[in-house]
Amino acid sequence: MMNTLSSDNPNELKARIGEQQQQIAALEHDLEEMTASLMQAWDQLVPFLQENPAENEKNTDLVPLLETAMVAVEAPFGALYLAPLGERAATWFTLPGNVLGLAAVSSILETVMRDGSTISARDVALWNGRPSLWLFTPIKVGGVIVGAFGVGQDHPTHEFTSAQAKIIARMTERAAGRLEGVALAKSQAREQALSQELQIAGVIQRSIQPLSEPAVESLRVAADWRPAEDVGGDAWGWVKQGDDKIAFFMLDVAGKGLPAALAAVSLHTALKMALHLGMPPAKALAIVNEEVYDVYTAAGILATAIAFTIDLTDCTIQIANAGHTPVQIRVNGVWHQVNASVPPLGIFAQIDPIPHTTKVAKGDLMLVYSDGFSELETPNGLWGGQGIIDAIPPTFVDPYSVVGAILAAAELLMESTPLQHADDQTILCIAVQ
Amino acid sequence: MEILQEVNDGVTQLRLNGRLDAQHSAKLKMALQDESHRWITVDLADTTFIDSMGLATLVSTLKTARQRGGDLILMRPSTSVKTIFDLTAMDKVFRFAPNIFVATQMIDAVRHQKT
Repeated sequence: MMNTLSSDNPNELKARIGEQQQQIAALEHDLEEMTASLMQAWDQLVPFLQENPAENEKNTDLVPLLETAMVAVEAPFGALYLAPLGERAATWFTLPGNVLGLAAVSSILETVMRDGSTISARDVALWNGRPSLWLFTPIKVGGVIVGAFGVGQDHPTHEFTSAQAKIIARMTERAAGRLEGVALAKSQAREQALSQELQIAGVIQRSIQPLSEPAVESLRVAADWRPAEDVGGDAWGWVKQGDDKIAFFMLDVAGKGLPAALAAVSLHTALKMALHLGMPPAKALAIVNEEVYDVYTAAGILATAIAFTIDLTDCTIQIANAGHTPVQIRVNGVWHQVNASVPPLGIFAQIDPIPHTTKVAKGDLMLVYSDGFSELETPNGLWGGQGIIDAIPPTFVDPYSVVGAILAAAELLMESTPLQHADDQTILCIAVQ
Repeated sequence: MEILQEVNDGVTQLRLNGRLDAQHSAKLKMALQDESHRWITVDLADTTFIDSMGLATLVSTLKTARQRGGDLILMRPSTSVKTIFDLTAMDKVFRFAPNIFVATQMIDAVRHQKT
């Protein structure tokens, strides 16, 4: 019981004030300990309250916490507000259910959310119109106010004591901790799902690359395909057009992850099919572009593609290039470059690639690569087609040696130049023999 | 990549400083999300590099601008960046201007045609 201060003696009064301050401090200390004990009891109790303790960190149900707060401060009402977040709508619930409408406290919650301060509100109308007293405390997760925790009294003339406010503050911290745990669990689940998606994308991308180069008497073909860590959209392939012609293609879908891998698969299939049907390279690209245009426009993606045929009877090469890196052809020891004649697929509804025709002979080389090589950074700018050609010793005629020399030079560049942007690398070298 | 943005007379003027690549393309998309960006100029004078994802983002931005009834003009690409446009035949997709005055005139011409 509290004594009243009625002495006229200043010293005695001072001494008694001091005593009472000590008593208050002791009471506050006791309260802190009680709160701590309550929290410990809560932590021990929670696993038994839940059906599956292993899923604790995913349990978003904060009702038991609210109930505990109500019991601790002897408040008959409780309320929880969680602000809308992403696709999740705002959450509002009360104990007992619907005892207080959100509209009745919307301006109070707005202030709590805006200022991050605890607010005590009088004369708040309950569902039956009766006035009540409420205390709302902001829930902060990672420094951001995500909602408010509230308790209510049906004695509007009373005040919440500082001790009760402290208990509510501690409970609110607990609620924030639980929400943080849930957010962390969700984030981990998202990361896991993303990682699985990337693995699937990698498998899909690998599945469409040819298992072997074509075995043709007059040609030697070497190829190498290296996916970037985070999966891109490179692919290549070949298909015979009758007995006398062979068609090759290479494509690069701009983008990464599952969307790029899926787009690469469908584009690979479409191109292979068009060439398998005997279409010339330019027509194959034009037809495939018509097919993918709408989808690519909707998805905001594009793909570079190159297709070419080699007539095995007279070694005539016909090339069509839609936005892909240039083709390099070494004829009689001199390099020639064949640039794209139309932009990548998916930009215009219709394209009309201009076919480039050239004849090659024994000892000539043809080099097709993706921008994972040409866009490697060197101290003097991008590696480019010239850098790639410079990496090939002039005496090299074997395509495997050529590809090996380019790969070795590229690896050296990637090791020596920090912060290289990782991209898929695909290279195809064809030698006439 | 840093994006400097201002709007003058209904034209959104962007200046892209640094690399427009897979890592930074989303930033450009975000900057132009609002429906009000119909007439756009993109100054590439300080753009050091554009990769295929960067090109895809510019194409997507162009398509969106045209769907909104507007247009996009590129300005002052460096020699190395212009080479990327040329090699991929993307110079056939975009219209280029040497400075903001010419870019604005090109946009005004299209605006007048539409009205």
